[in-house]
Amino acid sequence: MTSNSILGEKIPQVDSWLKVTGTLRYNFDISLPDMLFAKLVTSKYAHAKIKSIDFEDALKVPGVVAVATGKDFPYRLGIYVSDRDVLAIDKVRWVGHPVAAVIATDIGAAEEAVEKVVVDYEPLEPVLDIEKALENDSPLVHEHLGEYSSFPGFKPIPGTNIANEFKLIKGNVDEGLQQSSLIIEDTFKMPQISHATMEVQNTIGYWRPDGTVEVWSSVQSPYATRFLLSKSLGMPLNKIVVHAPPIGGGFGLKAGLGWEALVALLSRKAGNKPVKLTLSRAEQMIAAPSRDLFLAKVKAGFSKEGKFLAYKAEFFMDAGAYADYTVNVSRTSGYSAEGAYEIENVNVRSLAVYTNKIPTTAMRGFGHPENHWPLEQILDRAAHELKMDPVSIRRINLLKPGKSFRATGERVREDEGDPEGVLKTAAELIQIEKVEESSAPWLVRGKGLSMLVKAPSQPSNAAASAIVKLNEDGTIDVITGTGSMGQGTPTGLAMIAAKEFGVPLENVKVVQTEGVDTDRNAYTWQTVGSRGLFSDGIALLRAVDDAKDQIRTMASVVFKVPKDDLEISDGYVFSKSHPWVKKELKEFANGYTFDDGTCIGGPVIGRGSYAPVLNTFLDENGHGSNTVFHTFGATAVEAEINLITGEIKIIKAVQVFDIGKIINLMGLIAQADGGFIMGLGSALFEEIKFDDSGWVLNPNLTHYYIPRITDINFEIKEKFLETPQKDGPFGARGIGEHVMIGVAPAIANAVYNATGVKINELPMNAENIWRQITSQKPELFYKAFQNFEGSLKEVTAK
Amino acid sequence: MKIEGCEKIDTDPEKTWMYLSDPEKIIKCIPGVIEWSVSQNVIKAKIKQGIGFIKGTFDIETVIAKNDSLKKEALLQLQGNSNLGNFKANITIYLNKLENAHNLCYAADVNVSGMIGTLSSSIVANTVKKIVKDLLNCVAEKVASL
Repeated sequence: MTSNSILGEKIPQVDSWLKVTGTLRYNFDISLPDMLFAKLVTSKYAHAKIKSIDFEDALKVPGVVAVATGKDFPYRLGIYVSDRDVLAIDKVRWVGHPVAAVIATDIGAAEEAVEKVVVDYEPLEPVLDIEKALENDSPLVHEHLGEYSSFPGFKPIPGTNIANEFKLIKGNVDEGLQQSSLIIEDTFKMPQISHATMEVQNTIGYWRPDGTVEVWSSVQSPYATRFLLSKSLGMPLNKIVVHAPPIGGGFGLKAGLGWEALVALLSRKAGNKPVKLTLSRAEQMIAAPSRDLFLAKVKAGFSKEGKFLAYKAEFFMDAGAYADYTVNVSRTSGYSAEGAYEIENVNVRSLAVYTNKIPTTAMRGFGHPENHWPLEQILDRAAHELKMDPVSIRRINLLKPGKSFRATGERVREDEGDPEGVLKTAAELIQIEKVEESSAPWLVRGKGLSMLVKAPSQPSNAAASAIVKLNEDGTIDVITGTGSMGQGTPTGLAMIAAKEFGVPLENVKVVQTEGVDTDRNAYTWQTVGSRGLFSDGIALLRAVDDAKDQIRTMASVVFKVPKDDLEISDGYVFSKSHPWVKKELKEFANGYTFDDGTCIGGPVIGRGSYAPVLNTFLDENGHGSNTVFHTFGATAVEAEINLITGEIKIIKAVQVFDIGKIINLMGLIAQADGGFIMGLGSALFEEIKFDDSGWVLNPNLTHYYIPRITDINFEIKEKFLETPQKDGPFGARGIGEHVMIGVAPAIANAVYNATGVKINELPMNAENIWRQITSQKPELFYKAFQNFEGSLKEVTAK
Repeated sequence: MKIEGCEKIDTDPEKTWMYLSDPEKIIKCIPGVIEWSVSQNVIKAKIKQGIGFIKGTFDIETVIAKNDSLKKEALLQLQGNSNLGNFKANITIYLNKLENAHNLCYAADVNVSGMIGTLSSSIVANTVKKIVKDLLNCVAEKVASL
């Protein structure tokens, strides 16, 4: 592959070979000398006081080194609100809350000892329902909420279960609703779901005798983890090193702070020996965070021409016992509630609410799968009522680049993308107006479409940096802070460097592909929000410029020409005015050496950095500028609905995104397809179920169903538009999360357009769809059943 | 999940049912009981039990909701919890007459959660079957010695 044509090509991931041969080392594979193993004692009550913990018998199990309880570690943790304890102190807040940890020389001993830890509880009334949690007399999950520290822009309300309240106000929503010809009001719900990463969380902590702390963790954001460890434990940053090997799927679960503080402290407790904690799948689904349960109460007003005049919404995120990222999920779902549309009057109140359920955190696209679920269905319902088609009603309300303003007050950039082109392309590819025949009279086919738009939800100072090194043989080392979790960023960065230096891709090594170390790699804020290639990519281009400038400085002396006459491409530096005057890049790697042995310059190390310099915090009305790019997209499906069983079968799917500039087409296709499948899981199957005492009923991948390959027996058509963003790397924008946002509403719209049945709750599994059909349109079920009986009789008669 | 089964008993049905109906006696035949208390129709016990690969100590509370000694039919409401999971069960127990013996049958509607929820229903059912069998063997021995 020549470097000049590399952008836009289909390039396999740079770590594919290591992955398919099983030679890539994940955190699970890491073992340190004298390493001990930890197992957790977890709460069996959703809400209870801890009266006593007796671990005398546990200490007698051969191999057990120590048992730690919450009182050993009086630290508070949390990315935006410090609402977490390391181990439960005084009371437990969910079934699965770690109460104690056993440290032993082997896992078997630790497991045996866990059984011998006796915890005496005094059960308290749990609050397991988000609406009850908001009642004045509800039990409080956190009585001392007012004492917790919080990041600017987040508003926990002491004396309540509200972890954060966010408001977005534009115009006068009540007047807008009064002026509307059509009002649509409804309640929508999404269940708590699991990230279901292939790799469960596993972490090693080593509190070294010299007081420094090393952590090896399956973590997306090692620098954020280091920062949060430093803040929580009161240690200087340079005394903490976080090693983040490649991870087997993150999807937000592994952003922020996971189990790192616990294992570090356990290591100290165990006499400064490394301690490893590996969760089982069941522990992962009971003791670790999931995605929030989402409840939306919305009221939307339209003119008779279909103009979206007013949108009033209340969003409630069930944050569980610890809100972690979910306070930002509530903020994000609030400020982006209007989706891809310009709405004259907006009033959104978005709350993250504590309950006595498993904690919650970020998950792919956070806030957007939530707020698009009601919004995109409302548009189809409004179109139906106004006798419009779903494409037209969207088209007349779409944000217009260069002209529209979002409800945050932010102007839609001219180079932000082509939302109308995205909509048109998706509608054409799915042939939205063509009604397809079903294969049997008890089946119906429908088509549904969802627009989407998303920006990275990040603080205003979410920076990135990059280092580029030219080696003596002309190969290039690229170092940024974004590791590999299957998202493809290291490959994209390698392609950018190869293109810029004009060297073959195999001559570029992205160092962090096999792991990020906070004491060696370049800084990036976090690997979240679809920001990696954009932020690190800009930093990398600046680092390349810096390296090239160093090469040109040396070459101008060697060639005796001005620096601005020099160009670098195809692995050479040459004079533009005298193109035959050229030398290979490798000759400048460690400085240039003349024939007489004298040399100039020195090793070429380019440095680049990036910060979203125009971003601000949002004010009390949700106004400000907090985004660096928006990626528009659309998901469309053709689905077949069995009116007797409620089963939904996808016939065809379409994914369209304006990504600015295609860097790696193979990576984009993989994201679009993988994201659709992940979205399909949360749309059709996934739900963490709780019993009435707060226990998880399905903590495994047998009873918690995620899509299998047999569920993907349909075509996914991908199309990428390229409206370059001027300040993006070659004009590129991010896409990693956008790919699953529109899946659920597109399928729900397909069901609605085929049957008239409104789907307000996920998952759209056969039972739930059957219940909706038989309650909303029983005549459809009976007619389908008669048709089925008729067919059966015909077959029997033959 | 629904768990049903029958175990043949050769002992006198009246005596067997009387034994089964006496919480103070039957508790001594339940495998793995560590400690227990009886108050009217409520039995509380701490039981060490393994279900498949999961082994734990369960705090169990059983309410004898109905006991028809004429029909030889009883309804038990059982709930247990441990660090590993939670379960609730409504269990109907009845004697079924055979030609030369009796069957003690049970039909349980069981909800499990937590780690126990990770087990297949056949593992849970086989464990219940083994517990019942051990219990009845114990009862048969006690009744025979009366």
